[in-house]
Amino acid sequence: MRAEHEAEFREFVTGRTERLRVFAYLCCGDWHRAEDAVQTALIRLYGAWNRARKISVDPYVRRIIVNVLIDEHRLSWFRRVNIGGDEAGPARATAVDGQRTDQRLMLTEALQHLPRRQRAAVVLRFWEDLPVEQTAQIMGCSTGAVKNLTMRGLATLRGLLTDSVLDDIQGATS
Amino acid sequence: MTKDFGPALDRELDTASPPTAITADGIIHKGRRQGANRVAYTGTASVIAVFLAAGLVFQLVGGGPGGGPDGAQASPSASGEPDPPGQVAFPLPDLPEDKEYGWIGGGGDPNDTTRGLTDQWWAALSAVEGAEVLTSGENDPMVPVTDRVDFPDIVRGVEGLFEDLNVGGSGFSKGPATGYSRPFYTMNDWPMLQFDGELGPDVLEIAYYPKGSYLPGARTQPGGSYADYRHLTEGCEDLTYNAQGRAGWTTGFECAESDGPGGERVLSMEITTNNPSRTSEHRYNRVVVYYPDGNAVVITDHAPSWQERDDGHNATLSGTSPGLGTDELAALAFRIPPGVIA
Repeated sequence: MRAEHEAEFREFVTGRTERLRVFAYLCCGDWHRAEDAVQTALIRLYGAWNRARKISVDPYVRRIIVNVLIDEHRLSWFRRVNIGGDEAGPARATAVDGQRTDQRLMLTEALQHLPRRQRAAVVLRFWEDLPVEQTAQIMGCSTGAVKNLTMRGLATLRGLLTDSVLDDIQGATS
Repeated sequence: MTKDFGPALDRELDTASPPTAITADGIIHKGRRQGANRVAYTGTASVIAVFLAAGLVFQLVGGGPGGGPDGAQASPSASGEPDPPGQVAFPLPDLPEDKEYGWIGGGGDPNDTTRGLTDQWWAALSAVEGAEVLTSGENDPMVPVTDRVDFPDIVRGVEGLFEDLNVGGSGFSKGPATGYSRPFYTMNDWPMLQFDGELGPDVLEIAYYPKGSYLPGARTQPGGSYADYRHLTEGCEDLTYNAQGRAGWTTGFECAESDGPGGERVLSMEITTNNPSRTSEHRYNRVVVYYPDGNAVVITDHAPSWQERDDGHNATLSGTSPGLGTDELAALAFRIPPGVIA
């Protein structure tokens, strides 16, 4: 890789790793696995940088992460779970006040109860704030499928979240 | 709900996310290593120790080609055969032992020689019984390959030797160029083999190196996990090392040496790498084949293993062994020599 391209890659890794790691975590609920998936994706991106930089790098690397973590094709051989406990899950949020901490945990936990493709669609649409078309591109499905997945995902979340949590999230009842 | 969904998650994750061990240096290091099958930098061993070690590994592999900075030119080949027409040696330079070095460079474009190699590799891998050839696509990390045109090309790359300013550290900090460079043949994307009944595909890494540009045998950079810059593979001793700041990764090697039917010398390695909490494991079968003309090839079949959860939420390590044994990898190397590397 040319030096200028490597500098671009380095800048991308430095600037985007944390966001990608959180994205991966939201998709799988496991920080250790998320870290491994992001590392795998970035190493593969390094080998494909000259090609990927000519298109759109973010969707490219997210697509790899989604495939690694979520797709049925990969899941059969990527059913990892945490056994260490020390590095497994996120530390609980520091309580500013009890009610808000409970709400945050409930929201994250509820998200992890969604089927994996619904979860990915919800995360891409409403946490990454991506349009339906780009979400479909990353997930390798139609825009209609994305709309269906997000609709069902949100409906499931509403059923999982407590009324008090929903009341705290603006627009929950709309 | 959707409007505040993202901000609500962000608020939690701002305080909940554990620190990451991923660094740009670490990723680039691993990327280079996958791209060229090794990134190495020297340690700070003394001149005497290095010469002793070089002599030892030379003996271990039975006196392979290119046995030192000037060895390749003085001793053209392990079998005493003359250099093939057009083959030029690329003897390693004498560099200060108190500094560290690493390779920077990578794959370039195919030429007539590498296209011929690609043809042979495609023919060989597509004929492997019970396996499907895969490669990475633009938007899909695994795409079946059914035609030679979609098979990753072997290309001619050039890499230079640079001083590493991060002496003793795990990352590489590019320093001044030594002025030494060598051509090599490798791939920009590695082919994968999905074997019937296996959980996931193996990744096959292939790289050819020219006469004189390496020392034979394995050697690990001090305190690390990569090959010493003078060698084509890391060592045959069990290692515990730090990877991207994570202490305690272990790598176990089982190594053997043998002769090939055409005068080749073969270093065969079975490698297992575990992370500290043993939540993942990587198994590698690797051969380094030293051809009689002084060139060499490193072929690695890498099979990751994963944790699986049973109904009782207990996790067990699901071992996936590389689909190609070292004998099969060596046979491929015998069958597909690089010809002239220039």
